Amino acid sequence: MKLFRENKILRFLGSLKLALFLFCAIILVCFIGAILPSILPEDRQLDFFGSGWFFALLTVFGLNIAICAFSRLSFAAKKIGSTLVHLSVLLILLGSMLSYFFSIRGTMEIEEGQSQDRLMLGCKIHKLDFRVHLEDFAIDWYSAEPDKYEIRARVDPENILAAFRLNKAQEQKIANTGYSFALKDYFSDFGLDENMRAYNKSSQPNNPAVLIGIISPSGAQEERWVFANHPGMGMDRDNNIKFRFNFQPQVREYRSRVRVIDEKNNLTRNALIKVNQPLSYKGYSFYQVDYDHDQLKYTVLEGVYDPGVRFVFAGFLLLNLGLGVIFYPKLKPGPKTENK
Amino acid sequence: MSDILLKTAYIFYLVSAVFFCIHLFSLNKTWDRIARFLLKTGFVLQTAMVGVRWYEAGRPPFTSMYEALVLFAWSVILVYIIFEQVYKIRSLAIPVNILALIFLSAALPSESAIKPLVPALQSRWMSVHVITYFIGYGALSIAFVLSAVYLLLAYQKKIDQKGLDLLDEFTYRLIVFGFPFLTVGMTTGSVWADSAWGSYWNWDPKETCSLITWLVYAVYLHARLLKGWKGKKSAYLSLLGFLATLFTFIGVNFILPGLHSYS
Ligand code: HEM
Repeated sequence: MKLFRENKILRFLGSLKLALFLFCAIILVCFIGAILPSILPEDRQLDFFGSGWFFALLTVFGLNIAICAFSRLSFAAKKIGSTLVHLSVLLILLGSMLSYFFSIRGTMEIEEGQSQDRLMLGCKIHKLDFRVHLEDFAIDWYSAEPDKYEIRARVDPENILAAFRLNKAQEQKIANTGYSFALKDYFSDFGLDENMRAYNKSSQPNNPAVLIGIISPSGAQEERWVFANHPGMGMDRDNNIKFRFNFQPQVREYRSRVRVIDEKNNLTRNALIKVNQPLSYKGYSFYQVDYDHDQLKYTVLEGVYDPGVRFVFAGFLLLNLGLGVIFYPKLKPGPKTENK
Repeated sequence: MSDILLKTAYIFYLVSAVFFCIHLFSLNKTWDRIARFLLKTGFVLQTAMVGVRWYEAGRPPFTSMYEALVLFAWSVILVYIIFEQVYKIRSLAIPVNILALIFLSAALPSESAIKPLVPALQSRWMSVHVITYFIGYGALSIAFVLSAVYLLLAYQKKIDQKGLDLLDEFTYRLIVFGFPFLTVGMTTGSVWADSAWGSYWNWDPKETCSLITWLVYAVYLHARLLKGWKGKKSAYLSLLGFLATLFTFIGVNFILPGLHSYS
């Protein structure tokens, strides 16, 4: 303790002056780092916060807190909160340092019915001593039924607008226009085969389209595809009537049903991985990050090994505790705040 | 149903503001009492609105800009009610009423349709993360108004030192109240980010800005405790902190794209 007070360099390194300077420096640097991604062009983005000098800045800050905290280290009841807060900030910084140096983060693509024991870290491979087997991958939609959505029609030159719910086989009349139409077909994933015939590529709503049969006032008939994602792309014979198909189903959940197979320990474990519900095994956590957009035949998981997390969270817990200990008594009404 | 409740609450706040104005001119305490009663009734209605919307949406109603603004107004009044209970301080009611009206005036014309949640937002951490942040924001926005009033009165020399000290003291207490809530918000946010993305901190613009806000208030606390910064100097820091808060809350959504953009 005495050393901290007598050595000039240590005294400077633990000083409040340096602390305030570092606080300001970090605030300024963070501000630049926050706006930089929106200023820089797409192909010239920087890893600003992962850079060596930002790391150095945080290290000096950590050193500042450490020296300051240890030189005044006190577990007296009055000081315990402050000690707790500064040591916990230090713990968070140390934890994030562990993450910075030792975490492993890679992706793993697994086909249904297959197993995988490798994480791809860019072009490097990290081998695990267990396998993850994908039983199946699925997506739940909030509502992917087309009858929940609307078809809008506009008839020119009168500019008459009308909106309809889809209802197969039932003919709909557009009032005051003489037009009527009916829904003939619905494809969730419209595609054309080699003979240019329309077919449904998958049950996923990748390119939803409806086939509408139109009867014009003159009695002429037309069948027309209307695409949810590409309004105005259909080929219209009768230009006086236009349709819009407002179909935007949203994903409720991505689900990978997996089995962890650990042959070394003769162990298997079933798990369901969803966003916000990772699988943890032997220090690794697996997150749902991507999938096969066409066929839903494979899933993409991110595997993370991060030895710093527990320290960071322990630090956060202590930080909150410490702040409670410091500030709760300070909020009690005192003489200064009476009689306003 | 929830829109009607919100509009009714808004009318209560408006009428309450009118009574506060009458009180300022007549100095008859009855007007003040009625105004505060209306403010609190509006708060009860708004609380019911949040509950009803939660029920209607089948999820916590804290994700769109509309919902965030409603919550902002709600937390400002909540903090006021807590301070009134603890310190028997009544004069905070006027700035609080104005703040609530500003946030609700911004909320009412914005898109209020209930939208389903994307998978990343479906987490039990979401409610705690958002509510704690907003209670913190509520306290800090009242602190901001007090600091602005402090600076105005201090430069015009229209008030004695005792009055100024009281303003300064309450600004400090509001920040002392708000800072731990920001910290809980940041903590739960990082736990949530870890479970959704596998990383407790992503340097997303909103995260970075919230860290800036947190650090500005940390500077405020240190400068006050260790350098004796009071009065004007600390009022400026409180203004700066709230600017950072506003930028985190709104600026980021419109200017800087990232993981947090509201739908
Ligand atoms: C993010 C980092 C930091 C946080 C969150 C933090 C937080 C706090 C808090 C909440 C207090 C109590 C304030 C009060 O009682 O009003 C405090 C006091 C103090 N802080 Fe920090 N601090 C940080 C960094 C630092 C650094 C880098 C120094 C280095 C000089 C420092 C030195 C002090 C000192 C000397 C006190 C007074 C201690 C006491 O009363 O026992 N802090 N800090």
